[in-house]
Amino acid sequence: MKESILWLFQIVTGILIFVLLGLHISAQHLGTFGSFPDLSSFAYKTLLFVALYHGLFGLRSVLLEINLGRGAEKAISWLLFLGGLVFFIYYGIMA
Amino acid sequence: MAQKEIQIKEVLSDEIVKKVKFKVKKFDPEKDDKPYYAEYDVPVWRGMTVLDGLLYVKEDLDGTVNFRYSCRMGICGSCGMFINGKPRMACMTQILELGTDVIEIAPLPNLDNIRDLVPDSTPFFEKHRKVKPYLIRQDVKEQENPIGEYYQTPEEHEYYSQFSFCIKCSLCYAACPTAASDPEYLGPQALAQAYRYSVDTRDEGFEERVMVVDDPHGCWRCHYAGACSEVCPKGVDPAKAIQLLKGLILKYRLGLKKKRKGAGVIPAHPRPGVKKAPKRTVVQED
Repeated sequence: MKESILWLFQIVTGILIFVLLGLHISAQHLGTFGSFPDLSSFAYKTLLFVALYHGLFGLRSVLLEINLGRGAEKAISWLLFLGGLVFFIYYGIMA
Repeated sequence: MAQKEIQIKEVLSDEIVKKVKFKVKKFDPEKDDKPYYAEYDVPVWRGMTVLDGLLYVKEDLDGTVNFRYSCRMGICGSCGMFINGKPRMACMTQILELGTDVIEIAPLPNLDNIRDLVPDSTPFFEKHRKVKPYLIRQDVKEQENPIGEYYQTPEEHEYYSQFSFCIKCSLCYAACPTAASDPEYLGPQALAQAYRYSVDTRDEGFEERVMVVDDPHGCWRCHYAGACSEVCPKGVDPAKAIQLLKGLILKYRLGLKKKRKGAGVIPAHPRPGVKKAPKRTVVQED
């Protein structure tokens, strides 16, 4: 995928984290979604997804600046993508 | 009138105001294992620049000191150096304005050192070349045999005017924290020039430039530290150009950027009220 689109997702997920984190906190501590557990679960999974993307893309940006070579950069991108996917499946879908 | 004369006398006075110590980083790859600082006492008069001081050192104290310079008036961009911990033009830096008695001078960081204060600017210019810093046109016929000027209004010129003041001194590149850690990063100068040509209404090469700058080591690595704009001696503001370039690329990728044809040609003659253009002085040989 083009670097510009990945970067755009980074900005969008940054904004979404603010909203979803607020929802998550209010759901956990104020019971906002008390009678809608599915909605609470959906908000949590979405938050997990956007936070994972935002964090892992940030980590990728840091690693790419070390300039390890194009081959290593591709490997890092795939490793982080697969790591994020496994994390999301385990904690977001299977949990 | 008399007051003005006094002011001019004060400015041009060659009276020595004070002495400063020049600490110049020296390194000869054929002789030295590592760089070291040589110290010189330099008398200072009003209006004296760091370049004047270095020329004094070269002519009167140590002829082996190497540095690059040419125009002496902030136009050629040759004398960029790391002066008192900041990338500056030696010819535009007044010694008295630095306000220190010791002036430390080193070659520009983020570039290899050829000798003493001379940086190897090759990677910098390679990156500049990479972004195709020229007008790209499809009208081959007009390129080969021009009949006039490309049309551009003063308002359209304003889109890029500020970014065209770049003198390629590489101070922005030396100040950039991303260029320090990532040698493949295109750098503020090249990216600002990519934007400068992309918004020029006479240009048709945006798609070609996007291929170069929309890359993991392109404009997305800019963290907007702003150091490049801080040190730019011409007020180009490369940091702003990079952010505008990001916006332009995103618009293009999302299909929101209108496709435009490069500006048309106004034949040199006849134009009402405008004299006929003089004949070409350079004749193209086949």
